[in-house]
Amino acid sequence: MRKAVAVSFEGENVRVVYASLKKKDIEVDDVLTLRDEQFDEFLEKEKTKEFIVVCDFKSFYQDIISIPPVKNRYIKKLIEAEIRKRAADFKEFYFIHFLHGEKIVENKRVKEIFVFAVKKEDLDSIISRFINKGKFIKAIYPNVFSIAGLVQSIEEPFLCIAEIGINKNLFLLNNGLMQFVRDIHSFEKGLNDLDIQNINMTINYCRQTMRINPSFIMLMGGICNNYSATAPPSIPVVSLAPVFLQSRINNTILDFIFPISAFFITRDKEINLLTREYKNFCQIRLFLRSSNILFLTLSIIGIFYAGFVAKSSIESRSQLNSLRMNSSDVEGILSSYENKKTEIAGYKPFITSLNNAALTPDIQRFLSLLSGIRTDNIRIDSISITTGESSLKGELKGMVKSEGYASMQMHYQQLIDSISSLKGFSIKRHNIELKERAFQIEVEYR
Amino acid sequence: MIYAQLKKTIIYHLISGITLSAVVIALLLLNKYDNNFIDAIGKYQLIRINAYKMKQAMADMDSAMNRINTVLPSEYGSKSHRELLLFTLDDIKMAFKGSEIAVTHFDEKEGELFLPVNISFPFDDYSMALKRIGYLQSMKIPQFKIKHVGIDSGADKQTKVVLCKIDGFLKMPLEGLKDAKK
Repeated sequence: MRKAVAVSFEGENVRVVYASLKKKDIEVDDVLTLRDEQFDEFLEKEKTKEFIVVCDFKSFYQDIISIPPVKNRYIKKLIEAEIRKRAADFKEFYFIHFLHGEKIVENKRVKEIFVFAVKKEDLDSIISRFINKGKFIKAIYPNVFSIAGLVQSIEEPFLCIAEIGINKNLFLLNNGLMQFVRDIHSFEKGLNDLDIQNINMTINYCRQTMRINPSFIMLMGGICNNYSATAPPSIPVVSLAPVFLQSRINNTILDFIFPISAFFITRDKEINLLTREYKNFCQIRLFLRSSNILFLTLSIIGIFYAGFVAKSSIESRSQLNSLRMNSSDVEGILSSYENKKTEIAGYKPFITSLNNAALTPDIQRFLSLLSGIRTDNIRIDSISITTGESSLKGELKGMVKSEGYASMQMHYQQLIDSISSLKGFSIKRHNIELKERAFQIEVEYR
Repeated sequence: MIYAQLKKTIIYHLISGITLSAVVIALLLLNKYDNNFIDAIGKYQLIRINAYKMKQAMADMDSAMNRINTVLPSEYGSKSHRELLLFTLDDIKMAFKGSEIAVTHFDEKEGELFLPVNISFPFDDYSMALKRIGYLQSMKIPQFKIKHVGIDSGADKQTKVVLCKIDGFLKMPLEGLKDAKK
């Protein structure tokens, strides 16, 4: 259920209806009738932000215009040009239009479009009253189009009559389509003989000029309760009984038929006369207000975050202070370190020398390991050791004492294998002369 | 002109925009301030770690210096480096009895003082030769650097006497430790 408020400008009076919109029904909660001069004060006090507006425009232009079949996007421009041509006093205006039908004129197909135009200044005067009080307008409907929406489902032609003050709005509907709108002046409220005369003349106009024969007259709104004419109308008269309305204000509900009818207008009915300028204004205002909310929300989040950062900074500062206090001995350590560095600089050549000595493999160990090799039938005559950067190069010379060559080779091979198996030893080159039985082995020890 | 009605909304918009900008600027400054603290804390912690490392390094340096001090000859500081090398040569002579020890002349190269020494001695016990080589290798300051060792059984294969020749040099740094010890 959604609450809505409709305002109807009806001459000197402004009627306000508060309603609850349900899925299919509308419940009228309250109604108000104000003098036009009281309306601004009402708006100021009223808490509702958004209104649906229905207006009885005194100055309007209506016609059925024939235009050639063109693409939809050109239709509005063609209609606008046609209105400017036909109504010289309409400089700036807004209009609504409906397709009435198509017909063939001089072998050319043309579209017949009903247009209803209202001057921009008339719309602006209404809109500015709402803007000045900080209110939004959801839609502005011309009152006859709003009320016609209630009976558009009737297919046969009929003449509708509604009352605005003492004046009457007459409009003809055929197949649910508006044919024309007429305002007639009256001398008193309700329907009297003079009004019946005017109505009969309108019916004759419909028959003779428009070739439409209205089947009946439909009285709409408060006029239903005030029929005082004695002269008979030329066609039957019926009253609109809005059975679909639930109201707590039964007696006066008919007087509020215009604002109530606005609640029934669906979105597909394009009878909203709100100006493009106002729509832009609303968009800009919405954007500004939304961004205000966004900015303020971000500011609040930012302030909270700033608080969090500030707290973290305070903690960091106290941690830093404690670290600073604990680091008071650093200066002393640094100066001791510098002194120690200077002191050890004098030892550096000794340290380097000792380190280099440690890199060279141990000759004593080299010789000690060599003493463990297999020397069956082998005589080692000389050992020569040369120290390198990180290794020792050794050369072993000697003889194999075996008599046979095979035995010699076997003992020599045992020697080679024995040296190879020593840890850190690798044989680089070895040679044995068969004739002399003399061998030469070059090894590397790491 | 209906847009004149937006004046109040625009003023609110400006105020909220300025408020947000002020908050953003304040946040940036605070953030920077906080980051500086965090950086400073990181640096102080690094200083603490470095101070600890310096302490350890100083302990290592002390240990290295003590080690060197323990291997320095007793006469170190009272004698010149040349004298020390010659004292050591005398020690070698004492240790290598029956050996031929030949020296050439002192040399200075790359901040070190060298005294080339050639030692040759006969031996019939392999372990004795190993001990002598071990003795030379164990010298720290001055240090005996062995360049070449030659062990040759020679022509006389009957006597089992083997000749060992050691070519090397005694060396020690040219710069003394006297200044450093102060």
